Amino acid sequence: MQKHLDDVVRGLFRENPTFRMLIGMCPPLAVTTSAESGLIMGLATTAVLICSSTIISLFKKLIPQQVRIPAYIVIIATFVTMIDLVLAALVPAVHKILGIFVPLIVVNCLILGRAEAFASRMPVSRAITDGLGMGLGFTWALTFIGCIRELLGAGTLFGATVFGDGFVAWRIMQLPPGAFLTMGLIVFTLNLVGNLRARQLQKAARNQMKVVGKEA
Amino acid sequence: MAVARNRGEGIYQLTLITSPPPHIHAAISVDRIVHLTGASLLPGVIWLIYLFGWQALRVMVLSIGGAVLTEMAVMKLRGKEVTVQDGTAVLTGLILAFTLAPTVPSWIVVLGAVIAITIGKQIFGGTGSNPFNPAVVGRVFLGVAFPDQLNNWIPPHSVGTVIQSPLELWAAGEALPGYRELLAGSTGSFMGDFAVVVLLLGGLILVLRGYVDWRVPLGVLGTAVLFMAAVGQDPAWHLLTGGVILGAFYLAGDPVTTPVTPWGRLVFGIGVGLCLGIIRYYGQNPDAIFFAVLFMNGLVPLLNRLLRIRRKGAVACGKR
Repeated sequence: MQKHLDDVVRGLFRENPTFRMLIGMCPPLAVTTSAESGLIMGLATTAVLICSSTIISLFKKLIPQQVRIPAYIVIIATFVTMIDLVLAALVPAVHKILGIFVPLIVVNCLILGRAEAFASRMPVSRAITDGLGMGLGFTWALTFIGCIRELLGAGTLFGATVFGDGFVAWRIMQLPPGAFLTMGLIVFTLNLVGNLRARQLQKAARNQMKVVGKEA
Repeated sequence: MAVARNRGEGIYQLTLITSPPPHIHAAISVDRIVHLTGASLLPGVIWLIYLFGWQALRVMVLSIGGAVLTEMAVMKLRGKEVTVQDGTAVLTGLILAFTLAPTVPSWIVVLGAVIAITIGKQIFGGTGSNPFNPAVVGRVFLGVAFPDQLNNWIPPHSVGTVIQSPLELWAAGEALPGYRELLAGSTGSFMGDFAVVVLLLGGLILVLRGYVDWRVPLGVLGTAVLFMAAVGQDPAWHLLTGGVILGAFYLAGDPVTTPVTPWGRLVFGIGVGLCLGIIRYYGQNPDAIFFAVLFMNGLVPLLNRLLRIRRKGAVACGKR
């Protein structure tokens, strides 16, 4: 059970696909013009990831090594098609905004990467928790980028006005450069925090050594 | 180019060896280049303050102040020795101010200066390490982010009647101001455009002193003239407006963001001129010069690689 919990938490932060591993970079840059589209894209990807990971993990013994990538792609494409139709039925407005990027989940290297590196080697239960963790990590990352870009680019959050009439929209944030700037600055901040923490740990360890040395 | 390890820091730093020895040593320093470049802009500063009064002064002060304070803050955060006295941040701020209209809201000016120094310069390692011209980064950011606030052009000595800039008139196919209007500064444009003559003289001084390689402005201006003539436009008119002179000498000519070899610089200049022509003529974009410089800045590492100086008599060892 501990391992399963680890799978989920790891995907959220330490191995966050978008901010730490930097894989599946197309949706975080392309569909995060608003928090809502980021969230829905993330949830759609999560659903595909969990389903495909489950199936791939179930059939891992049956899929021949030589044709595993085409087999994974077919499995993933099946679920993407389903999700595409579900989104078109449930949230047609957002589906229209996301457009081509929903079918493109097929080639999101996050999904193929988890299939290849995790689901095809692990029991079904862990494949599911890993898919859940990675998917939710991807979702919060997309939603977070979407929030910043929507807040600065339009002054709204999930469509609700945040800043008053005096707010001047930073139009660049809704354009592709805004995605790169936001993405870069978030990764920068996370690395900065990570480095500082690593340095503190190092310092603590060194002090520990000193204390131990003195006692000896 | 040789790569040497910067002792103690563990960071790779480029030591730029661009030609085979012998080398001549000259007493040029960053401070000197920056001071002369700044001094060459001073007559323009005075002229602009005369034309626009406190509005021009406000933009310049905010831009320079924002750049200097940001530089100090970021260098402190990075744990580096604060080298703001070398004047590079002042120059970046001043040049950024030259690319803005005197009507730009104060907070936008400051934001542009902050972006220019952080994203344009310090994030890459500070003075001398930036691949893109910081002032251009700031200006392009503002131009894309706040087109409505940036493009309010006013003629000198006016009380705030917004008019169209010469390039906007040109794009709309309306009657164009003549050379005399452009030179005398009775049109509406960003501030650098009102000081074309001063900038040209200042740029020539920088070229004569060797601080700006003549190949860059020659490439920019020559290609722009040829391009505009080839597509049936008036080349001289197009040089006088839209920051071409400012761009050729002060933005593209910045020694930090130009290639290190003579041929590289010529090709770089030609590239800027070509991009300028294409973006201005086919794209109808009045900010063409900034996008052109930014784009060619991005190609500098490639040009450095392609147009290296080969040692005489050197034998190529194997295929590259």
